[in-house]
Amino acid sequence: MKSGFPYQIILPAVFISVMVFSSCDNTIQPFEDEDAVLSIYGYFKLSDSTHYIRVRDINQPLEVEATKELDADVTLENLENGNIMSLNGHTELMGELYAHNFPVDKPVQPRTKYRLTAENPDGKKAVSYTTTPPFTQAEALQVDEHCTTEVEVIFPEVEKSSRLCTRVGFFYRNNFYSLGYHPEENEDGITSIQFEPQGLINIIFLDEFELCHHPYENPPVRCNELDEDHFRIEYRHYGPEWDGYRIPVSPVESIDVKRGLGFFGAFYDNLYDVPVDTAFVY
Amino acid sequence: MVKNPLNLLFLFSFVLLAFTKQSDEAQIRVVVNSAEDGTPLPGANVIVLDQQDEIVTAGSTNRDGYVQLTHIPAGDYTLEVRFLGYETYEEELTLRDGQNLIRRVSLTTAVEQLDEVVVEAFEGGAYRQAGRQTVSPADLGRVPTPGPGGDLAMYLQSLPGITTTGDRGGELFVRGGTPSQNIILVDHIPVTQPFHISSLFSAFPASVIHDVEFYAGGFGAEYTGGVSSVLDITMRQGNMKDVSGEAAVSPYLASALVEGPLETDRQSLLISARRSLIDRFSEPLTGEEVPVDFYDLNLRYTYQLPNFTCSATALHTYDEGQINPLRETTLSWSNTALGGRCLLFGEALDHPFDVSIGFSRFTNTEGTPDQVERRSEINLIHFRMDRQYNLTEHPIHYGLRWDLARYNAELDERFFDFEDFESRIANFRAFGALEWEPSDRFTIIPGLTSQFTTGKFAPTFEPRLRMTFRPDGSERREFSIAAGRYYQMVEGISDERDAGTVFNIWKPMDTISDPEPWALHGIIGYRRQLGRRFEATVEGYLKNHRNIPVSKWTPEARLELETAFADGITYGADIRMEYNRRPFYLLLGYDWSVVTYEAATDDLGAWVAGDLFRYHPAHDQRHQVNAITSYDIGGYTASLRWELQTGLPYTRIRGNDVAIPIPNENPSVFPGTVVTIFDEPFGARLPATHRLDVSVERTFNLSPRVSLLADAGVINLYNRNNIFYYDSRTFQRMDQTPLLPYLALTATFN
Repeated sequence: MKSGFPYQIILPAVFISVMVFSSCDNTIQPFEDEDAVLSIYGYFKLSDSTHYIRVRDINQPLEVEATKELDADVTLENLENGNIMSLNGHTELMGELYAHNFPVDKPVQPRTKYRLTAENPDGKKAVSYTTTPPFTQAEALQVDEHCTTEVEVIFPEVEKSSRLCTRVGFFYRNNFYSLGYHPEENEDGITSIQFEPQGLINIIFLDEFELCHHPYENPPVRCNELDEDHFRIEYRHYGPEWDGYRIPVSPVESIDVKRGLGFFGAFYDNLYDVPVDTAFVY
Repeated sequence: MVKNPLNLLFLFSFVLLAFTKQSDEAQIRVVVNSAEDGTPLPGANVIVLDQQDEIVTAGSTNRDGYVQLTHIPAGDYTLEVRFLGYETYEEELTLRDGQNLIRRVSLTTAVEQLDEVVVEAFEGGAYRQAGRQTVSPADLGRVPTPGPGGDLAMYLQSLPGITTTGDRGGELFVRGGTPSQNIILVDHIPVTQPFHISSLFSAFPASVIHDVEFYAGGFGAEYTGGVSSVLDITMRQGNMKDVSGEAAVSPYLASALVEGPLETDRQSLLISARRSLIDRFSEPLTGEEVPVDFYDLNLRYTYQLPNFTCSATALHTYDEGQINPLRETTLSWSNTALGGRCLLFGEALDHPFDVSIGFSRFTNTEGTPDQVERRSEINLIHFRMDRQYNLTEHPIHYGLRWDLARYNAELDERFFDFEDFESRIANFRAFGALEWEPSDRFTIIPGLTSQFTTGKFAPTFEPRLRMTFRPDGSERREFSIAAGRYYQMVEGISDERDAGTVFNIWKPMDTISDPEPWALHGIIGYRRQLGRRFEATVEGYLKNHRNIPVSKWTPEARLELETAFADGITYGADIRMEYNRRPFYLLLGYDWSVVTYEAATDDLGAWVAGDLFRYHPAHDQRHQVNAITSYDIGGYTASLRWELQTGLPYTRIRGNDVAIPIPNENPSVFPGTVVTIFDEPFGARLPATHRLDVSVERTFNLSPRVSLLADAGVINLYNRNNIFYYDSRTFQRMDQTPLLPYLALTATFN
């Protein structure tokens, strides 16, 4: 059958189109790998003898086999004395993936700035700086006072109250009860917390409704019923990079790890017992 | 939402219309069907002539084969029914004042005109006008499909302005809208996702479709509840004369269809079933595993008497599989729809009644092969009533919709808290539209619709307008515009960053805190027919979407019930040219569009600079070219389809991290939480995709009543590696269907 004009035009046009288009570029670059390549998670806890730092290649697939190896050099440098420590990682199956933890089993010095570097074979580095806090001491300005006397505990080495995290508690019937307290700078510019022992007991054991019913006349638990004659302060002093003791994990880039993800910080934590005259009741 | 006094006026007018009696003049109601199988014939011309053979009034039948001619003075007339390819029907009538005359006319095929008829029948097959397109089964059959017969899904993807994110997932984005913004109706029953997991197939083979009204935007007042597009499908009624059927098989699926009269010319039944086979044959044919399984069942029962036609429709679909075989994420969804519809036009009725009632259910799940982790379900009961009132010679269409829906979802996210909800709403809608033809050059259809949802205090105000201008008074040259305001009370939430899943959470908008999504559409079109064989259409469009629910940009791979809201602007233009001179057919289409979203950075959770973030979402298809051609030679029909789509936006990833909440967890013991770190949202584009599909078919008559249709073809003839998906967890690329040869055999008996 004679097809005429369209038939003769269309088939060559299709053939040419096929030839032209079948060769055009078909690749994609799904990764933005200009920036971060490694993530670092860990912290120095001054009271620990061993510290663990997790390093991960964020351009690895989330598959168990793919995570078995980590091709990265991790070093820790003491910027005060220039000592450089090369860290050896050990690999462990944690959950559904392998994790690479780099233990630091050498003592960590207080008031010292460290640089942690993780470098991949391409020379791309993720770097984090952390400064360890001092061995922070607490000091109560009132000791062996009655349970209704407010106690102020000061932390002279803490430069900014936002770097300190505290809880105050007591032992009662073999359990430890505690409450978080927000540190503030007192009139002398020293970071401190204030609490009233009997008030703390009332807050913990009374609900809001019951507080309306003269808790000081008929407290739920009296001081002389406590197991110990002191109140315990749990405190943690974070390094300056941890200002505000938040978890600064940005989804795109860490404010702490340069050209990487994650967070690496340092803190010192300790306990301090404030003697209180628990025998006196009113 | 507008608290507008016009709403009250509208409701008052509606009530007034419902109780208004027509004039005392006579009217004729005609149903035209084919004498061959009893199916309705839409588009037949029904003319009333006086004794001098002057036309008194005329009209053309709608998709039910029905037309009503009113305001005819008492007297003697000739009723004439004409339809291309059929013998003209003539009947002498005498009409009395106030008479409602009903005629059911069966037209017989005009044998002596057969050759001409075949040629003419292709002309203007798909009628297009300002976003609207009428699709016939013949149109579907022109697109090569790797299964027996044509399918609606493949045809829709060849239309300008329709975008898919690949050949899996069964999602259609229409001119900037999202899949959850489409209205899909099957014989008036709302259904949610009647597309199969392989996007090559819908739940509707060409053999069960009577016709499809598709609106890419600018739809009229009779459609409410969606802000993007309308797909209004009418299923074919079964053969009223003889029993017939077909059985077919291809590497992709097997199908069977049986139809026939239960009572000749009065009751018929059509049953169709299809089941996928590709999971069994894909590996030997393509070397790749395609782990999908789907089936669909369609049933239509029809009962007709001279003064009414009733039908019952049942639909059930099921899909299960993995869009990405590399990832152990199994998706499934299921549609069940059951409904009845009656068109009543008895002499006792002043106005014909079109009433429908039905139930539909949609369930979709996502999880591992062993366990469902997410589930979302819709149960919906609907009632619908449509009527027509003739104000002088201009009909007013008006109607009511009433939906009762229950939405529930359960999200059991790994590593995250369990979330679930259940919500019940009632939605009432009323509409009215005037079909005004001030002259034979103009048609103006202003309309108004309003919907009220329980929990909301004010009804919506949704004006609509469609106008056509025919400079020479014929349909050969036509300018058209369509515009409207649209509201949607239900949102479908999906993570459109992840092409590896099409799971959607369906929920009504929060009645207290969520702003309703709404949209303004504006479309302008021009259609030109040159001779009988060439037609070209050009359209420009603008859609302004407000308050589009978009999932938040959590770095963790999760989907939340709480969404952010974006505003979107879509604009573009498309051109289609159709040439049809048997034995040759050619359709060329080009579409250009730009889709832009804007959302508050804080709401979106995007880590980009600035308070507002503007981006092009994953369905921003800039350029699309489609070509469909077929050629008949020596009893064979060769078909070819080629498509080109420029790349869609995607979001690059910066990496996969396993985060540890320092110092609450210790790296020595805590495994970490998996987070995917994305780069700037939709900041890159995939490469262009294109594909050539070809097929050759021939029918062999095995006996006078049995024939065999053999259809051999190849999908993706030049084996283009069209990217579908890149798995950010496994770093592996998934491509769309590779070169896929097929042979489909269809045995037909009648």
